[in-house]
Amino acid sequence: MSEQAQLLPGTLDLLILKAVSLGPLHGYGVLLRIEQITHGALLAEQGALYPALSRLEHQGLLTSEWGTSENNRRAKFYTLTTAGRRRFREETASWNRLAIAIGAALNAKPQED
Amino acid sequence: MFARLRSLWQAFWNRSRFERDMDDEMRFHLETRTDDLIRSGLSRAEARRRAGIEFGCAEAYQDRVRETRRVNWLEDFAQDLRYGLRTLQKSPGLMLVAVLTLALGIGASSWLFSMLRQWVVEAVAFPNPERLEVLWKLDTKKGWNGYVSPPDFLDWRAQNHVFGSLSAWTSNEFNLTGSDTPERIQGAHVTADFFRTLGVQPVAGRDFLSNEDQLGSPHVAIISYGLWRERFKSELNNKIIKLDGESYTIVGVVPENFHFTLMGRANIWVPLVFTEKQRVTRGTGGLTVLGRRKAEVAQASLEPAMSAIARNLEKEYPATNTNSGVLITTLAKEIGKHVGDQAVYTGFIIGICIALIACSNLAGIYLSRTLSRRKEMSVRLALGAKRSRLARQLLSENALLIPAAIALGLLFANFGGNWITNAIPFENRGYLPNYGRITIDTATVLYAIVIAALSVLLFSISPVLEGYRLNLTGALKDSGSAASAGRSQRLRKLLVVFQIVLALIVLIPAGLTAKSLAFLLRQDPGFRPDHVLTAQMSLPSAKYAKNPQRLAFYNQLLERLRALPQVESVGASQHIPFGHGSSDVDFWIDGRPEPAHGEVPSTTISATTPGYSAAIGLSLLRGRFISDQDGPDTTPVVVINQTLAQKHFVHEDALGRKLRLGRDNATWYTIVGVVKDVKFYNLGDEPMNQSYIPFVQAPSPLMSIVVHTTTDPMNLSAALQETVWALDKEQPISGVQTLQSRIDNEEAPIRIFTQFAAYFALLALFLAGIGIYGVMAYLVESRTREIGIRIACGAERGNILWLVLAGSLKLAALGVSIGLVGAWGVAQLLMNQLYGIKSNNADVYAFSMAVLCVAILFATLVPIRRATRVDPLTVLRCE
Repeated sequence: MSEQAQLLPGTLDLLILKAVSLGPLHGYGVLLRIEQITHGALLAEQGALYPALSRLEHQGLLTSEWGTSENNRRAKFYTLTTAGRRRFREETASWNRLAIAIGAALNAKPQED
Repeated sequence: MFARLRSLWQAFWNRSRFERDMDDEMRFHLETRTDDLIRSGLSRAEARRRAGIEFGCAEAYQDRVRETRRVNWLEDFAQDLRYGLRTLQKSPGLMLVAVLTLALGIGASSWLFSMLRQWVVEAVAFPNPERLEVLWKLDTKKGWNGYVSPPDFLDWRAQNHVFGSLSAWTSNEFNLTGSDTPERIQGAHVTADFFRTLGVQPVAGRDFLSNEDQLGSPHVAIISYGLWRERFKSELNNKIIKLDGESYTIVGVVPENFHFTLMGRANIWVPLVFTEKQRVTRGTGGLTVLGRRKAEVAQASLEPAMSAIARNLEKEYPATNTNSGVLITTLAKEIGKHVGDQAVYTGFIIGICIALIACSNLAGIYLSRTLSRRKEMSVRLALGAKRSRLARQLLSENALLIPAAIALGLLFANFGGNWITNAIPFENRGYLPNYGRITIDTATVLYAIVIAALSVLLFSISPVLEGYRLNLTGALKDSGSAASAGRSQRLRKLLVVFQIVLALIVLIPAGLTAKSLAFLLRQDPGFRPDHVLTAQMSLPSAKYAKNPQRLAFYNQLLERLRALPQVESVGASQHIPFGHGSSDVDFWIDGRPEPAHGEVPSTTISATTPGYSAAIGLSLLRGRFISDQDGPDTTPVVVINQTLAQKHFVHEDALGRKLRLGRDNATWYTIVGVVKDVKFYNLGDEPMNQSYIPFVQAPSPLMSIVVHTTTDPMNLSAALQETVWALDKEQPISGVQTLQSRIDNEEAPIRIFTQFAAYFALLALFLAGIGIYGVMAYLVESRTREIGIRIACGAERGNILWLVLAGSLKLAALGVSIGLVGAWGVAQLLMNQLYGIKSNNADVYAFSMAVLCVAILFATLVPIRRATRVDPLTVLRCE
């Protein structure tokens, strides 16, 4: 398990938004989706998902609704709101800029005269 | 925003549901995870264990979920309060000034708000007060209004279709006997439907029956609650009360809070019964008419309807009713006239101005604090604090001030209310709503809270906005650079201008009333007000029906009073200056053609004893005053005043000419003397015709006694009463007071208003001075470096002084010119309250401006001195 990457701090919210942007999901579904799209990057603890979901909902980026899961249990499904979608686009754009900048910085070679 | 509110709502009010949902959600996660792990080959127990480990501590995560929904601002607020307390401890002086300033503003404005509300806006405490109207006879030519005569009233009542009921009253004083000491009490004769018109039901007994104001009906009376409690121990079974020597059966008691302010401290009401003669005597009469407009009739249609009736009467009775119209005012306005509603409105505006000055001071204080905390704010911003959070912090720091300021402000308001009530003479308070008291009630407290909240919101916003504008990099570098402060300087300058405007609006009404009061006090009253004791009495007609009886009583009384020690001279007159009213009669001059209807001149008339002129210090100009040589059967004589003589005997000698006094009086009175004009109602009276006739020839039952004493007149008040009671132990006496106190009472409203306005003018100057000083000091300080450089470059100190001074003068000029316009507007409200001075009196405006400019100069002097002493080396080294 040690070969699995840990999520970068501060990226959880963005990943949740990404996960939910693909369709309504319950909390456990969000976890699975994140694992899937990050190719197995892990949360230190799965419980950490819930404060993040709650915070995003409180900020109006997500809405939730109780429904029935694929295994016929009562589950809380999260959907992205319009505000959430906007935030997701913004964050994605700024993440990409940062990633490019960091990548360029790390790839820079000493200048030759 | 909405989503946030909803989720807060859920967390707050649906707490149990929120908890359950959270449990369910996490349990679903664990169970599904467990199922998945079992499917991957683990045993049930092992799967559950693993799922638990992967999840982490559920309790801890639940806590963290709860935290996301905690009502954060409550916590933030508490944090801000703690922080505010800490900053407060750092600068207690500043905060004390802030609280005091705010408290003064709140106090002043809520005091005047209460006065306005309780004395003017809600002065009429009867059902549907907007339909109660007071009607007067209007002299359409002179524009005067006056009392209505009984036949006119009866015709108005019979012919109109706009009033549901029309009643009339005439105020009166009664001799109340039957207990230890005879008393003179205020009351009124009212038509039987008077209380029904007002919409007042007696709390005990009954109202007057509709036929009880007819001639020959039995004597009945309705009394006040207070009288009922004191005299009758709250019992009422056919109690008899003795009024003016006649017995009245008490049939009803009005509610405890009943107060018809136009009647003063009226305690007793008896039916107004017209004699046959009164029913036909038009032209004179002492009635005031109160009507209740029908609900379906508009206020505007009253005037045409009643004027039409008046015009018909004018045609029918030209001798008495020429130029007689009807003046209709609402009861509220009529009461407002007594209260001096325009003065109260002006006072309220002044109060608001004070509050605004206080608020802008507060804004100045906060602006300084915010700027001095630029660096702190910038650091917090840089560390990731939100701007809205910082703004909230600044606001909630003010929250510390508000409760203290409100409490202190209400204390000030209470103090102010008591001050004004005590300043009003007792005699006048009866004519004010709530007997001149101002109470701090719920509405006052609410008002204070609203004002405080508004002021803090409005005037903390400027510093808060300033906080929003913080430029991170600029402020962090901080050197108080002038460039970054440009905007706040404009804000500060605006504050200075604002304060100057407000101060001027307070100063000018104060100046106007002060000048008006000075004018009044300069007036020659026409008599000697000092060392004179006055008292009024009315001989009941039942006991003193005949002239010789009245003559005998008053002659005896005056003789005994003259014999008292410390008495210089005594006299009596039917009416005295600053007494309770006068009698007016039309007069005709012998040998002149009959004037046209409505052109007949009139004069006040007073039956007077010979000693009166000496006792009151009346100056004789020509001829003689009424003297002992005038007897009941000698030639009827009259003494006239200067104005009557000059106006009606232009190029001839008045002495020896004859006057006929009164429409129904056939007697010709020979003019034997001319005396100086006497101010009768008010020191600001316009000159009017006055005349005196001998008491022996017209013995009036109602007389005022005037005693000229060698010492303090009040020393003789007991002796005066005892002398009266020695003659007739049932004869009450009222209005025992010095002549000077009568004048003082009459001039009390303007005197009180002048004092009030003066106090507030000082307060305004003081507060505005503080504010202007603060801002000027800051402006100078922010230019220290510039000044230093100028000095270093060789600028003269004089030039520097002028530089700073010019800045403040520019602001002063702007503020003063706006303020003058505002003050002129407010002064229009005062127009009717001013004597001998116009509302645009240039002296007052100039003086107020000068005073304000001196204050501004003082406020800028210290900063300016500092500016000229700037040491260029120090300043430049700081760089």
